[in-house]
Amino acid sequence: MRKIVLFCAAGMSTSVMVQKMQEAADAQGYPCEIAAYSVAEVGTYGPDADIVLLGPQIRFNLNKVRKQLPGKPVEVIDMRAYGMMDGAAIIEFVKEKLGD
Amino acid sequence: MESFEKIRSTLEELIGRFAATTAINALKNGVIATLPLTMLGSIFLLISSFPISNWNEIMSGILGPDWQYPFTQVSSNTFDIIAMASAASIAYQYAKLKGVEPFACGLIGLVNFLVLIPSVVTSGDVEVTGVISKTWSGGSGMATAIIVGLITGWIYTSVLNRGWRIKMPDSVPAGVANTFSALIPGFLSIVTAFVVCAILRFGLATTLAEVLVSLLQAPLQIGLGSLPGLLVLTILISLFWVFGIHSSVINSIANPILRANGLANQALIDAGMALTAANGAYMVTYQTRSNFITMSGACCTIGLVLAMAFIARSKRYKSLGRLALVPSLFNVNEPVLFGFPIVLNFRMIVPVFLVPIAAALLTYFACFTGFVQPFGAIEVPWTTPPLISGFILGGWQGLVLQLVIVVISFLGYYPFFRKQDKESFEAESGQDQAA
Repeated sequence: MRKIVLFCAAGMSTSVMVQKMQEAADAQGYPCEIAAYSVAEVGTYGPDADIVLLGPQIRFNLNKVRKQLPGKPVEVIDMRAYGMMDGAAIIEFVKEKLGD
Repeated sequence: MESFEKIRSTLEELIGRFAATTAINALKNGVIATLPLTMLGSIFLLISSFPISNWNEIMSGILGPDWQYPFTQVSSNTFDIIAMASAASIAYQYAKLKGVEPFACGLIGLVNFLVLIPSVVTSGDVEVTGVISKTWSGGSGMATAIIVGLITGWIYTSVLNRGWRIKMPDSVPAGVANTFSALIPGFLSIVTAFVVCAILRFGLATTLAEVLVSLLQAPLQIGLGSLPGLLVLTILISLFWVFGIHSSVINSIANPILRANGLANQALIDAGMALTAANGAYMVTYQTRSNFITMSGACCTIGLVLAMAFIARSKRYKSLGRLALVPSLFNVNEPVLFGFPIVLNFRMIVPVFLVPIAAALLTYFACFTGFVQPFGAIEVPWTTPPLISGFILGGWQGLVLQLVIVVISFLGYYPFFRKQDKESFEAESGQDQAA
């Protein structure tokens, strides 16, 4: 069971993304638990995650979040995939990064 | 395009550094943590001053002439302590970010704030001492709260992390030892406030809060509350988004100032004065930005979403429109910004600036002429759907204003949308033929 945590400014638009990703993951039988929060909560919800994904609009926080979570994969979601809320593409990306 | 990318990455780098500082994060998180007070106060204030005419008469008829009292007790004791709460909350968040036990730091932030505001209330010729003035613990103390909260957090955590603490033998229980470890950092933070208080009192016969209001907060409130200020804010938000950068950094600085404007307006309302420019009312408040300029999300894209959802010919935009419609009704429009896209798309640059500017001008003049009453302390969560938020904040006039903004958004985005939709449609039918 992989734990994927998404962060954006308020955790609102990423929560739409979570739904699409969960649908895609369930459809292909990839066992994972996905959640979205505000980037202010990285310290609380980041450490438990297998991978942390940032919304492209807060890409400027990438270095900060990587520093906060040393050794953990922290990536920015591709703009196009984010805009089209393409859950399958992002699940593919997560699998690739985690080597699943 | 290459130079565009260069500007984008430079801007992102700058914002990234700024956004990573402890001060800006403590400010942002500290203010966010006081939001429940504003929202809860809003509910009670909304019931006591619901935006339909005769509301007061109707309610007085049912509950008696004093019916508003308990409502006002709750709403005023949330709004009127907002600066006090912010000082504590910002100092708390600062300590938390520095990995220090935050509660004591938050309390000392609160004490320092109280040390540095006037502790006298004057009514006519009568001076009352031994009180906490609600003028200063509310909106007027906002700048003081931010600065005192941040400096308290900084002094407290630097002293503690430098290891200047009273060391207890190992046999002393941790809980007991912790109370002593807070003493030196707390002492040095309070001494700083003490010295500032003494210098201003004996040197200039004033307080820090009074100095900061006249030198910092009032100019910022007037600046952001003016039409040029509103236009600069509007343009900056669009500019950030054109580069794909969330405008949260701008908001975290502008929001406390804009909230102070709303609270100043509320003070006029409470005093029974009309919210006119002549009486010193602010035409621009937090609600102006949150529920009108960035209605349906940054860049005010509701018209574009409606066009995509209902009249797009291409499959691409039809499906994006359907995907984006519901989130847009709750003012979440990242699917449009990144999916249309608005971000890094030169061809949309005209409406992306013009639509929010038109919304800003319209909202400003609607308040200026009194068609919509300038906004007071009542706020709605930023995810409240358009039209509902307009009605709660401005009565039927607020709803009409938002409807007009929807139309403007549609007209502004439509010509640009049509061109991109046509191209997508042609590309799609070309593919179908090839297949």
